[in-house]
Amino acid sequence: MKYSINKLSKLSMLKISKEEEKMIAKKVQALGELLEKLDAIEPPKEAFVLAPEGEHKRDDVPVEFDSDEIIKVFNEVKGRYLKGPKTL
Amino acid sequence: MNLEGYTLQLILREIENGSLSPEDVNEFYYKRSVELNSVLNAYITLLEPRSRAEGDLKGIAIAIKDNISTKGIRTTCASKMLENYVPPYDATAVSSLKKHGGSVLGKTNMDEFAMGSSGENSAFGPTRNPLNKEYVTGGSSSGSAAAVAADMAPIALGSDTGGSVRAPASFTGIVGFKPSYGAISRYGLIAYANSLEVIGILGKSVEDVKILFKMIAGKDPMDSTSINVDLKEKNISKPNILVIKSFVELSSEEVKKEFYNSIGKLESAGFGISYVDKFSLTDYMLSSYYTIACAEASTNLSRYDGIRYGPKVESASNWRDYISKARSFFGPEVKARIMMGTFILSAGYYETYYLRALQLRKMIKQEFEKIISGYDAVYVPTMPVLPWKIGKAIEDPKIAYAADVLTVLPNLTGSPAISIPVGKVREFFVGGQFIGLRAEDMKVLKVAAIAENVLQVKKNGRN
Repeated sequence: MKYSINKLSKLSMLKISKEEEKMIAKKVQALGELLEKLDAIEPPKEAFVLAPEGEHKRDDVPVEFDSDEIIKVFNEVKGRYLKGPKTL
Repeated sequence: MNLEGYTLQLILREIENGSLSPEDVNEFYYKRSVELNSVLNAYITLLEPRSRAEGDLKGIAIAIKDNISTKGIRTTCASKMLENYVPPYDATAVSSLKKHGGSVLGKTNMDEFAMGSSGENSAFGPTRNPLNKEYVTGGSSSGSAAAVAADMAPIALGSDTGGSVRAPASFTGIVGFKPSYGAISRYGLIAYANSLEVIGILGKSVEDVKILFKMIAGKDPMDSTSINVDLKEKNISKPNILVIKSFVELSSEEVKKEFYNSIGKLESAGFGISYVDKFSLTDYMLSSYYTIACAEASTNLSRYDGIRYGPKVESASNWRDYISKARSFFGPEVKARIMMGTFILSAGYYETYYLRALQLRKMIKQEFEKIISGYDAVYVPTMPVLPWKIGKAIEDPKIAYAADVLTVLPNLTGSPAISIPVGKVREFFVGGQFIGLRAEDMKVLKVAAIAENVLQVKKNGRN
């Protein structure tokens, strides 16, 4: 597996400070070692299916979105909601 | 009034017969939390008690992990990214508690965005273990566990993605229940790894977590992955349990000794104990888990860009610079997992890692369903080691990742699992977990309740 912390941070749009670079490198290396174990596994021929087809069918009822209620709550707490979106 | 050691069940009974008032109960936990929080750092936000005595919960205030949305109450995920975020709605689990007369005592500390096994990865500082303050509580529901263990809350909600309820329960000597995937609605739980995580319960006894589980379980129209599980009491008196030896062998000598002692006691009490030597995919559980979790994390956390969520950035030269600056508010653990997840999902590596991890997950589920057939539950240690000193896993992250090895199985299979104290080493407890088939939550709770009664490792009740 080939990657560098610099390349990964650019790919993920994450700025890494000098102080955290060493710590993150250690964590990425430890996670990378876990990932490498997957190389040793022969994947089964059977395709991956999340759940039997029947379980994918949604039977939930859409719930009405109550924007008035949300704005009411926002007004109650807006003093604590720092630098929130200007539209609200 | 001193409610140290009181279970939720006992509190409710004493309120019912008039020996306690809900106001006194809430006052006790609030005052104790104010007193102990500067030492244990269990709460990020603590609320003054303001409840009415009503419903099944009689107005009792409950601790809620800080990644579960609470209307009008700051919900930070223990991250600088959401330091000032106030949700405009309640998670379904919280609104269900309120419907039953519960209220919010405070929002508990945790590993940032639920990523961690020790409780050290919080932007608000580590939670300290009430059993020994120099040691970790386990995570990621670290504050919920510390609050219950230190009598700063009668019971708490947490979340469990790879053991985040059971690990801290084991390290602090309490009960931690991870329900089946979908048994409790995830609506309002701030997403980290959707296909693995569930809302769980931390309490002083199996009966306590069962009381709360029955109040908040059930299908929710706001979460299409939620399901109705059978909530009828199970009639089991002599459970048949299966011990996976290869799991026990991954544990340290002191954990192994206490765990095997507990098996002896359960056998003497009439439990049917069977053994299987090996779970053939043991070596790949962690790899499958971390691959899926990191991939889902990189997708879920892309919304924290300073535009949709996260603090506004004052100056940036272009949109890429803006997003990168906004995302610098994440801590190191979160950054590492997002980076790994982005790598896993990138072209050329998706099939090698992500797809293979999903295939493995299916194989693990099939093998688990095969071995558990004919038994009421699988019984294995919760954590392979005892709590470590604060700071040790920051030095060597492999310690924290390896500690998840025994807890990730139920998250990969969607099974219910419960950790109870089954032994004691010095000031710490050894946790044992019972794992069942998906949707058989009440069976697992029944088996754990019988085991708890037999083992009696920790005494609760009036002091």
